[in-house]
Amino acid sequence: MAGLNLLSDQGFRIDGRKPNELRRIQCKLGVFKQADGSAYIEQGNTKVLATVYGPHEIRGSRAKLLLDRVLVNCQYSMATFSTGERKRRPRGDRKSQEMTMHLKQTFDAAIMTNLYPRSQIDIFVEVLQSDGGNYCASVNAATLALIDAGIPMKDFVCACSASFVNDNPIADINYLEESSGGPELIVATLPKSDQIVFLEQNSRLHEDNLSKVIDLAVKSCKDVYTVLDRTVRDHVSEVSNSHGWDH
Amino acid sequence: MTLGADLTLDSALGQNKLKAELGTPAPDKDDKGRLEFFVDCSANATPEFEGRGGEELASEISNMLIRVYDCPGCVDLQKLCIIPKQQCWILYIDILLLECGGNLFDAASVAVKAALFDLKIPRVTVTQDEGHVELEISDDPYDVQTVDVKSSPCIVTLSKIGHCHVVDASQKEEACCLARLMLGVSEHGTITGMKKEGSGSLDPSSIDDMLDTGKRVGIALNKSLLEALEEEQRQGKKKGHTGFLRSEIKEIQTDCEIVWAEINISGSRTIKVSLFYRPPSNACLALEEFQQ
Repeated sequence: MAGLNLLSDQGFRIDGRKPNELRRIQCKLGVFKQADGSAYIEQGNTKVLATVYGPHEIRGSRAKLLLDRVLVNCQYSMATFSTGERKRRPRGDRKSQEMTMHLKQTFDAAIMTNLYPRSQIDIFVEVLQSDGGNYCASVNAATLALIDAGIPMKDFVCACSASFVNDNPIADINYLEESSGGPELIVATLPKSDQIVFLEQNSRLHEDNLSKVIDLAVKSCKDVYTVLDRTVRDHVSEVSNSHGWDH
Repeated sequence: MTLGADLTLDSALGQNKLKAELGTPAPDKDDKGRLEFFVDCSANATPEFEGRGGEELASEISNMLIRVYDCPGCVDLQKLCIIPKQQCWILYIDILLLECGGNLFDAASVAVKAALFDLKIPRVTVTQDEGHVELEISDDPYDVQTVDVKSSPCIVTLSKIGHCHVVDASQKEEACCLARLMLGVSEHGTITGMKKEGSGSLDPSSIDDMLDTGKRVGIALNKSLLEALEEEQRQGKKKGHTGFLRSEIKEIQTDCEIVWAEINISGSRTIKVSLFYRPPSNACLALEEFQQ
């Protein structure tokens, strides 16, 4: 595998993590004043900013209007300086378009869309630094931004990636592990009900091992949920404290 | 080779990153390096920028930056040239606009200057071997050259509101201004570029007034920016000093000494520890204040 030892004999990964260990997650809600909801997340070296506008009236063409539910509009873009080699365009390429679609599908499943017919919710995601797991960080950031905006959802959406190296499933892979050619499984779940809302797999993985990798990814999503839930609770108590509300 | 400067000017927020690459010089300036400006207006700032919506403003900002930096002496571009006509450094200056709070042009130019100040380019040694040229880029992260930004300009925008003009206009002020004048001002008050914008018209005498104010403000802006940058360089990069994650610790106005430390244990809450020293002369009042 490109001469790289992804899992050492002692069972540690390139960045020193254990196979089932996540990267450090740091996040903050309400980073922008202008937007209805915003959040910033750092998962290791991957840094993502998400903002939510809405629900508001349909902008642009009214043909997009949905009579029974809200239109979830997403845009995924990557800063030109986010990758090692400079990107030419921040959005509009095939990869970002695909990512936009995936985000839209994921959040269509999680937002209680029937509450706001004939309106629109915008989710804008901006990757500031990319080190693998862009989709996962984007989903986690967007979830926090939606919560910050106060949009009713069935549950948090938590995403995590996983891979399989030397008979061991590994969680939350970074760019090096992602680009080494091994399998990559991306899962987004509703952690409370254990529902999978998004599942994608790249490269080859033996059928017998699939369940192991999915199990680890789903478990990692729960770990992500713990972190996100604590952030939301901390944020809410901070806000209510500063307003002087008793709780 | 990636260096960045986060910037918050009033509430206009820009993320600015620089990347350097080797490339060929422009044919008409073959002994100089190149600056490439790219501005991206993120939809995060306002939904109107979604898709291609922000491109007009983006190209306006990048054109203005090209204009004010297209002046000999702004940046020592000759230093960025490695082999005339063949190899030079290209500096890609990427500006990402994340939030609009008015006065975007000035904020962008301040961010550019800060990023250039922070720039460190690895030293390149050229060896010639029988007409065969070889470039060697130094691996040592401390063997670097910097760019002198002392004389690079900042943009000062003067917005005409009624019979007066204001600097650093907020978004609301910008909405009620009819015409504005943008100036590129360097540290000694040299004007490197000028542009009038907006639907209204300006009287020549008021342009003179605006030029005077612009110069004065520009000199002050350059001076305080450089001071702030040098101060930060002296202190070194403190983690959590900039960026979105910074936590605000309320400054307590006392004559007591307070030292803060933040402990992050993975998997647990952040603990803030502080050391508080109350001088004997001080009453217990300060302690009460601290408990709040």
